[in-house]
Amino acid sequence: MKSKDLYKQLSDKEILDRYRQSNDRELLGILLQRYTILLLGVCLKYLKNEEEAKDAVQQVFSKVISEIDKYPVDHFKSWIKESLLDLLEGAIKEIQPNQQQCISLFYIQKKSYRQISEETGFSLMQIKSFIQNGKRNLRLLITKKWNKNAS
Amino acid sequence: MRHKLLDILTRKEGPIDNEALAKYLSEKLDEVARHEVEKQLMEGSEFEDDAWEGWQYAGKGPNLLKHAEDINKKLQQQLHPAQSKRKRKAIKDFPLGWWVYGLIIILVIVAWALISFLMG
Repeated sequence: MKSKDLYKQLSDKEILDRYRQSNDRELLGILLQRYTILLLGVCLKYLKNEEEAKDAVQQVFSKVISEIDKYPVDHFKSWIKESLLDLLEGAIKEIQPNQQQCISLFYIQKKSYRQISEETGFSLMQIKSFIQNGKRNLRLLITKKWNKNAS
Repeated sequence: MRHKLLDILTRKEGPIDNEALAKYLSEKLDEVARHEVEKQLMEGSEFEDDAWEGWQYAGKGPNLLKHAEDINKKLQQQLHPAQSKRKRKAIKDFPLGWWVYGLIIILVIVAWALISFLMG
């Protein structure tokens, strides 16, 4: 077992370089664990549910582990955040098209209910319902995905 | 004092020490140390800002650290699956071994009692 203190002074990039040279997964673990508490906080901010946030962090870690050898990563912190966004983007693609469209117009393009209504022809009530249900389904999907990965 | 104004513009790169973060979240730091952690968070990126806001939601403290511990345990299992399986196997085998020893001792005692009864 390597002493974690030994790596405390090293930057993410230095640890990542050592991992790439040695392929020692313990180094990858040390690197990821640097971000557990931070990432948990980020997921909590958006998901507002401790169990769901925990699942999301685990899923991000799984993604990082499976993809780290495929891509050259210079800025590990940004890459972790990108992985979280990929996870969300993937889940958004799986919800119903109406919910997907309304969530995208509302949260990404920052349009008002009225603008969305003009663009899609949905009533204001329908839009609100699509966004609410879409958000709920997104959370369910993220949790379900992790449970599937874990089993 | 004036030179400290430049601190306002500082941006920090790299991670914050996890031990300090854990102590911060479990309220185990004095005000000077708390300020240092908060300063590092403030000098971090949007990532740290979001994390801090999320911790407020969870009410900080033990729950959050317990979740982090669980995540790290699962991470280790994922990174070293063979090791984890061996550990699980050892844990499973341990009580079975004791059952077998116990059963043998009981059989010896029963056999001794039976022989003593038949002989006597």
